[in-house]
Amino acid sequence: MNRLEDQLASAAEEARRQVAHIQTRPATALRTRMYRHRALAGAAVAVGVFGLLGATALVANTNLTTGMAAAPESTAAATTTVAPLIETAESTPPPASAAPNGMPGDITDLIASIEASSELPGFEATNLIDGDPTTAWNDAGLRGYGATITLLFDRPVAISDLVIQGVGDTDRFILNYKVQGYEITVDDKPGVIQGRLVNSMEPQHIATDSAGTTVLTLSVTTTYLAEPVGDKPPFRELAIGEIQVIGAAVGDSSIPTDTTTSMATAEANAADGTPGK
Amino acid sequence: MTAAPFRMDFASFYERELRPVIGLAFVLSGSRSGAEDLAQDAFLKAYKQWETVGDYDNPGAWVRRVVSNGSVSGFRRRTAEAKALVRVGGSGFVVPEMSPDAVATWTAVRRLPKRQAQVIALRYYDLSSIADIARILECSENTVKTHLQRAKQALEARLDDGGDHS
Repeated sequence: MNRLEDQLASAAEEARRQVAHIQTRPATALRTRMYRHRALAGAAVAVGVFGLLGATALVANTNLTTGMAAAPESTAAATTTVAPLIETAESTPPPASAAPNGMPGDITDLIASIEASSELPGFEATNLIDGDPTTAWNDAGLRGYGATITLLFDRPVAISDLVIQGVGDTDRFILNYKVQGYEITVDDKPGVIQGRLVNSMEPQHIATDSAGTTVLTLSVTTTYLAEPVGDKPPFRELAIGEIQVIGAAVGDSSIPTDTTTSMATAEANAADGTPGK
Repeated sequence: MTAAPFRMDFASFYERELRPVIGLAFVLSGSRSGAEDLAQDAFLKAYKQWETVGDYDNPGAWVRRVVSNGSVSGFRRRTAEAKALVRVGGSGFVVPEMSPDAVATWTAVRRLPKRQAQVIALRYYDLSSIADIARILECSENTVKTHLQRAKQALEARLDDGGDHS
């Protein structure tokens, strides 16, 4: 009698532990899923629902854009399919000199595109990499819930650090939600890099130690509360002022990249193989 | 929940209930990936009908009903798709497997008649009260009690068979 109760209780506890590890998708992903259900069939659903896979597809597109050196035919068709991406100003590949091989430096310029899980109009994700911490990215009133930022590079980069800075304006910093817990994924590392930021406006470094990746996803797992300033009520948005990437370009010569061939590059290569589209 | 002065917004509802609902689907289906997919579908339904579902006293009961009823019938059909969807290139979490005892317990639960399995999962996994279970499954409390009683009898017999019944 009691034995069964105990057995069920402990089986339940074990099952709870199983799901405790599941990374749940944000509510916004659900909306994406719905749109995808409407617009597309089959495999495309996966692209909408699961962020990293989505990023994978986008990387494929991005790589098409820059032609990956060997497939010149592919350059023309590419840009049309990259609707949600913000194109960088130049359509030419970024300068190879942004950071010389092996010498870590600011490689924020090598970001080909940046995507956020949601954006408040006027506070787009591109504000994160404009060099001005007072221009911010805000999520669309979700209090940081399910917030992700995806950085895409059009060739592999080694990323030693990601630097995150809150809004560079004291009042606005306080009034918005701020990043607390985070998870970062990159191509070449299994699992996630987890940690917590302190509740500060100062730039904060996160060691990422990627040896070569074309995508970095930052997921916000918890936030510091938005707080009132004087009689101004707090906002409902999560804000980040600036993101900086520290690392170096790889792949030209010295560092072998074939070991990092992730699905992203594999898929990009596959896409390159069939430039007809 | 009682006399809430405002309607819960969908994001909070989703945030609060997604994981427990995935868990419920997990114990009823036996597959984590299938469970995630079932739960996502249930929340997607809730989202599409949030105008009405959000007005219910207990949208959590609604989504649990959808998942419980979907677990058995929809699960197999979805497995292939779910496998493709889950965590491609995602986190490398290695979750320790459940103990053989726990696996045996939930397997035995899933072999019960559907209603009995649902009642056990809701009672012991979800920790729902008899009244809540009645609301979720849209039946009377007495019916819930009957299912619970029969389920426990069946489980006791089955689990004892395989156990150390010396």
